[in-house]
Amino acid sequence: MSETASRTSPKGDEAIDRHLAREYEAGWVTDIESDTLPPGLDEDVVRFISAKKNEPEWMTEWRLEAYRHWLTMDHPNWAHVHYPKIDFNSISYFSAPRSQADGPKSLDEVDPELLRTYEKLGIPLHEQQMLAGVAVDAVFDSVSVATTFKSKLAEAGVIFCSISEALQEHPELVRQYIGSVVPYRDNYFAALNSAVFSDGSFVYIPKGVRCPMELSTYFRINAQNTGQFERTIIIAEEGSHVSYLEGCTAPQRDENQLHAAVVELVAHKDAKIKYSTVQNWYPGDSEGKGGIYNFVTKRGLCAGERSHISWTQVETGSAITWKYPSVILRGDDSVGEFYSVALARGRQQADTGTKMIHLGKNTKSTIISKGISAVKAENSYRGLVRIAPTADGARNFTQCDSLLIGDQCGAHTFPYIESRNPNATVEHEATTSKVSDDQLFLCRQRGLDPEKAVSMIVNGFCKEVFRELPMEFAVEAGKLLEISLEGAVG
Amino acid sequence: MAVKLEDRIEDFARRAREQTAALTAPSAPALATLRQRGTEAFATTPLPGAKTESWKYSRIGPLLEQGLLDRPREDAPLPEVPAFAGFEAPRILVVDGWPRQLPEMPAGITITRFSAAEGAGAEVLSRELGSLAYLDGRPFVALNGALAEDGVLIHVAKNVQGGELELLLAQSLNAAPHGAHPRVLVVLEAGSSLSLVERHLGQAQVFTNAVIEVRIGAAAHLAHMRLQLEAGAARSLTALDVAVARDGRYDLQQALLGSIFRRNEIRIHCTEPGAEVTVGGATLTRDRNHLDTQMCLEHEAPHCTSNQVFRALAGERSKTVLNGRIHIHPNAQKTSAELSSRNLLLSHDAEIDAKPELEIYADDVKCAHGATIGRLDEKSLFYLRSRGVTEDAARLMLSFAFLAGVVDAFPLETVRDAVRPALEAAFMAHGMAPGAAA
Repeated sequence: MSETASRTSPKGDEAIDRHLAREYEAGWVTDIESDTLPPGLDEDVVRFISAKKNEPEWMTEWRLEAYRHWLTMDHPNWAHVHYPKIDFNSISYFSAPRSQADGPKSLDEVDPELLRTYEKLGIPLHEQQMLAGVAVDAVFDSVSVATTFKSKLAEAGVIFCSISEALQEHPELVRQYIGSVVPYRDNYFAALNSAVFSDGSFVYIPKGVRCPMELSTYFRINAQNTGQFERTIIIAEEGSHVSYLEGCTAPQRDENQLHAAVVELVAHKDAKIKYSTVQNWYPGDSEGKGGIYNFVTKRGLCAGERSHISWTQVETGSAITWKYPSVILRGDDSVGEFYSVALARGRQQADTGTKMIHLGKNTKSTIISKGISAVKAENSYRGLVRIAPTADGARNFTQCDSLLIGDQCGAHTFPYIESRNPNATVEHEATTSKVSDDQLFLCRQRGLDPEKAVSMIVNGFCKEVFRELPMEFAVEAGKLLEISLEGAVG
Repeated sequence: MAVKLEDRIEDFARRAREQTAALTAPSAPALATLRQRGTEAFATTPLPGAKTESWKYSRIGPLLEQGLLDRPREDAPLPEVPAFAGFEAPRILVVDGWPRQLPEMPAGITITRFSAAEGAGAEVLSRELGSLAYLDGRPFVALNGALAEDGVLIHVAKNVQGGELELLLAQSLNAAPHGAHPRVLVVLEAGSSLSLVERHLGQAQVFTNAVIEVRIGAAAHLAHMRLQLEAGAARSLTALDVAVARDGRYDLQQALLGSIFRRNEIRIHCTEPGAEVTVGGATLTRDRNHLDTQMCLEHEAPHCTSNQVFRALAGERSKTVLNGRIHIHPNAQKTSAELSSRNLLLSHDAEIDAKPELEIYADDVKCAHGATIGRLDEKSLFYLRSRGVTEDAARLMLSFAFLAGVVDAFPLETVRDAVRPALEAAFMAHGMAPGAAA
């Protein structure tokens, strides 16, 4: 390493200061009357949520079982994140926009304020966006307010609705699959979610159907002191194919808000599910005040032979991220993939990664994780690759790269590799480095300002993951990264 | 015999405390301090349970059996020490935790029992003993301190080239179950050097809970070769805590077979700029053996380098664990740290768990780790078979080529020459070679 390696010019530092002061751009509050439950959690709250949604009795019972189990559990403390103890009784567990009572039949009936919110976020809800071929099931503080493209999807036999709707119209399907991949006993936050989940998406792709368009949900936490607890279930029957996009933002608040979602995917024989996330929850201010606690359990089950589940995530927001999208590779020849870019700046803390559980023969998994830490952030990759004795011929490849921008941040890697089959091959590699001075110098020499240069280098660093995102998302993710990195050059 | 694990752990802790209380106070002040600190720490540090992260892959069960806390006799019959081909060096013999034979050394090198330390030796002892093996969260290190009745100090004075030395940790002849708590302190003053061969002998059902502390002064160099080449019923827990000062060098090379329970906790601190550390581990487990290596490299100062290479073969019903942590502290800029762990599973009932970790708080560093778990390359096997090499011989050849990188890194040729046949014999012993994977 050369001693002449210089830090960025004073001009660069100025730019840093300027941009460090940059505020969260999606941080406004939409003024809509909410039907909100007072803070607190007990069995009555669980019953209230269930009753409010007119759920079948078995659902209420399941929620209550989950709640009782949650009471016996301890708050997990193994992740490399630090935050004050959460008071679960200071959170309101239900918040629905009031206009929901009538139920909007079309976009015209949707509260215009709400539509403007989405417009600011740039979500394609209108006619012209039809051309983009995106159906949106927008979750606004827990209740689905608008669902488009239903008819076209219905034609193909695809069910794409909110989970509350699914509970009314397809209770048998929900009953069959809910908790089948993430049981409520799974972990602390999954148990909490199982008890109080308010809404989420439900997707069912029938046998042999290739979903005619990419499905998308935009989550947004609005009201103060409300936790958001979505539950999403995606089922792909034999030979079907679906790509699902999820984006998240939240307004700027001084308090921390809790987001504890559960996502369950089931891919049957020859089915493929691709799940992409761009997460831009409010990360808190530069001193670490406020921001979302994003504690999410996402897991897919490759149930059938040759099934395929692919997770792609771009995580730039949240004060704390605790998220490990996983795949259980049960079917022979099934494939699991995890592509992740996690960017933490300011005082953000991210502990994210994946689990690949190989059970079937000749199962394959690929993990590509890119972590970027800037300023005073902590970014950890935590992953598990487990090869069961039954997984003959299993194969895993893992690559974790970390990039450090600034000398006060941290980048960590905690991979667990467990193999119990001599015919399996597992490979893991991880590197940590900073943006190289040579690369920066080259870009600067070509007339790029330091920020553009860093953004370009970081984009190159993340290329392998962006490539996996659907096109519109890749563009958004690239932009998001650029905005987030502004002023983090060092 | 369905006693709950929690109860057994509690019972063990209670018996250990009773035994601590029954010991007579030592005369050496440094030992008294060690004993007191250990006793206090043991009382407040819970033993690892099912949920203790650092014990995720090691179960404490084998250490809790009856008799494994019994105090060892001070005058038990000495074991027969098998010849170690070609290696002749002054020998320190520690039997059941008791220092039994210490060699006469030339001026500049002090080897003494803690209980007999005087003058400069006593001074070093009071300065260094217990200063490296931290107690926080380590009940067995605390227990070692609490129950250590004596120990060995190896001190090499400034600018003295200490040559070769053997440290033999052995069990007594026909040892009955007991708990031994050997304690060793190695101090190399600035500019000195030493080649230390640490051998572990004994297969009886004995709990050996050793703690070795090593302080390497500025520009000093320790070549440390560790041989645990006997499997069996021995339960071994060895903590090794090393600090390397400015421009010091520490070279640790290990050849390990595991036993019914063997766990090595190694923590190396690069405390000043320019420290250089290399670590190697060639391991081979078979039978129902268990080998857990908990490795931690603490880069606390800038401009230090570390390089770690681990190669493991696991056959039959054995289990090999490697937790290789690299921790770069905030001011440790310009660090270069690497860890490579490659493992071969030789049987369907064996298990390998690897957990390479990076924890980095400085940005101008080069850190990398890699871990693989797989099997012998079919194409290479086929190539050798097509040249008329028998399957057994081909497997042996390839497996040894796999371990060779580490074995060849042993700095002393005589040790190298002794390690190879020992590993080879272990490999052949349990029919690991002939189509064990089938």
